Amino acid sequence: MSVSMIQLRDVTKVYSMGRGAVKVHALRGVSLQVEEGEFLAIMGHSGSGKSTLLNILGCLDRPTSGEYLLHGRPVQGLSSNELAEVRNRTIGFVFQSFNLLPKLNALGNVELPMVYAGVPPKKRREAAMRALEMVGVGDRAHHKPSELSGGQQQRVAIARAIVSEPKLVLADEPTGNLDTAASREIMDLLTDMNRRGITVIVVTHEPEVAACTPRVLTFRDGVCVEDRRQAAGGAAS
Amino acid sequence: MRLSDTFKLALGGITSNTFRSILTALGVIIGVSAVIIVVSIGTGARRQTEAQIQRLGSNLITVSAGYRTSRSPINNDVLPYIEAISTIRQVVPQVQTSGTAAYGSVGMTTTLMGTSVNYAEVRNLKVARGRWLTEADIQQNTWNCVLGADLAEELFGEADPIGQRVRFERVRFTVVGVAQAQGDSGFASVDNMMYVPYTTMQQRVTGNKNLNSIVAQAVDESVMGMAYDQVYATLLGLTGDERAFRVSNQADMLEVVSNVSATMTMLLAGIAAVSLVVGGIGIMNIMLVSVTERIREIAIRKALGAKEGEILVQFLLESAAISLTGGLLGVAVGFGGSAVVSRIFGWPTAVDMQSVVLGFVLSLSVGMFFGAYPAYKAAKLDPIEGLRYE
Repeated sequence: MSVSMIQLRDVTKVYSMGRGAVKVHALRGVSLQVEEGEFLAIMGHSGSGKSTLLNILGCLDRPTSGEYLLHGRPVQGLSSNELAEVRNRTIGFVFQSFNLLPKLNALGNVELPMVYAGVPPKKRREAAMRALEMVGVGDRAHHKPSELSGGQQQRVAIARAIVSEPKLVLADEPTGNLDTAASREIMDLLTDMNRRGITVIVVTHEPEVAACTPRVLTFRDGVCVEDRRQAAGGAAS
Repeated sequence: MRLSDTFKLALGGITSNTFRSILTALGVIIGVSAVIIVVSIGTGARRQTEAQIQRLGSNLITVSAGYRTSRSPINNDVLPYIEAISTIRQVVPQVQTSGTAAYGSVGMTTTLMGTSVNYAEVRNLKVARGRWLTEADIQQNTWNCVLGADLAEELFGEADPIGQRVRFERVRFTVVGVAQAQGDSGFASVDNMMYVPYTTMQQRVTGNKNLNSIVAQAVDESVMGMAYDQVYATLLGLTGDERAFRVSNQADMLEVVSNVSATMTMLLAGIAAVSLVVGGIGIMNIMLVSVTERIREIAIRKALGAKEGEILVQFLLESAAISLTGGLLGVAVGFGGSAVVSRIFGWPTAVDMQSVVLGFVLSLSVGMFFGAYPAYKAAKLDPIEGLRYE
């Protein structure tokens, strides 16, 4: 019997603001199941709780209540060091603003997760080079992020996300800072990663992006209001 | 994370902004160099004192009068008794008084030292020109004198003093020799002394047979303890009053001086170390700024799997590296500074390995101590907060 990639049961997240006087309910009881190899989009306006959900899924944040099983393993009881290890081994992140380290070149940025995994320099250099070639920026390996276009930077970021062969890639508005052509390339790339067996979750507010995925969740006011499955492969236009 | 990567990361942090790193380390540079310079002055002084002990001879016992009376128990009559002690090789009588020596219109404050022939041997005094006092001078109470090097130069300049007559207060002496320069002995300069036969001095200047002191030379350094006891017992037997005389040895006196200078050195080094603390606060300040500047970098690293401990070590090593670099430069500046002090003030300075090691240890611990809080702050940073930070 195969385990689900993600199982959320009645997850809530409450932020206290102003010395606890004001409580903000970012998530109000979310239950969700994502199988291994799925490709889904999470949609919603700002304040709908989709970013909070992504932070929890990415083990950057802990739910206030509820249960989160990542690949069958309960996450809520883990220490911050164990969470760091989960992020390092199991999850790859792609951010809207790329979040590459400006002082490192593309190769150095892609190597970074393997530095924290303790991979020897020679081995991680080779793996990083392979990842860069896979996303089509192998010829840019020795350029600094400031010398790359937005689309190229996001490709480097995707290479960094997949270099440790994670099971899950979380992309937070990956096309938010890109023009239409670059957006399309990035979505094609994510689709390609998904075909290689990686579970990919994209948070977006662009319907064109959501159209690329076979499953779309819509969030409003901290709850999931729609879980829609659609014909996959509709490319962003 | 591999150890080599950890070090590379910390070094990368300081070399990416070299100028600021050096400015940050400035306080440590000043602190470490100040400590090294102060300690080098102290060490130099101590080495000089030790050299004096060697030069003066560590086998000398000095006997002096306990209190002044018209008939001091320390006089010519005591000399044969002390000389007869088996562990004593020879004794040197000393009568001295201060006054002005003059030649023509030139005068200089000097110490008139009445002594015997073997003074030169016991004190390692060499004659540069002419001759030293002779047994005949002592026997016949002659008016001959030997001048210290400085005194001779002051009174005669380039001219030859031999055969000239020098006035001390109201009496006149004929110069028969000039001593070689001895250098500062720490108490009084021996180079502006004027040496005359003690017999002449007692008859014509002081008018009695009293001695200021007797220097007794033991046959060997190893019998010093026994010699001391025997001299003491002999004097007690002669005078019957333990307050009438004092017995001391040169090495003990110099040790006291040495201890005092060591205490002073520690005190000054302590004050210099305060600037190290100020330097440490400077490091903390810059590291806090650096953590704030690099919130995004820290958040990215954490999102990619950096553990809190790894972030902590990264920043801790960075501040330690800055501080240690400061320590290195401080040691270099300290070496140069102590050479400059030696050149300008003429003080003997010596930088020993101990103070270099001290400089390293101090700077490293300053960096670790004052880097701890910023590093902790970086380690505890919330990655979500940091990723949102623009």
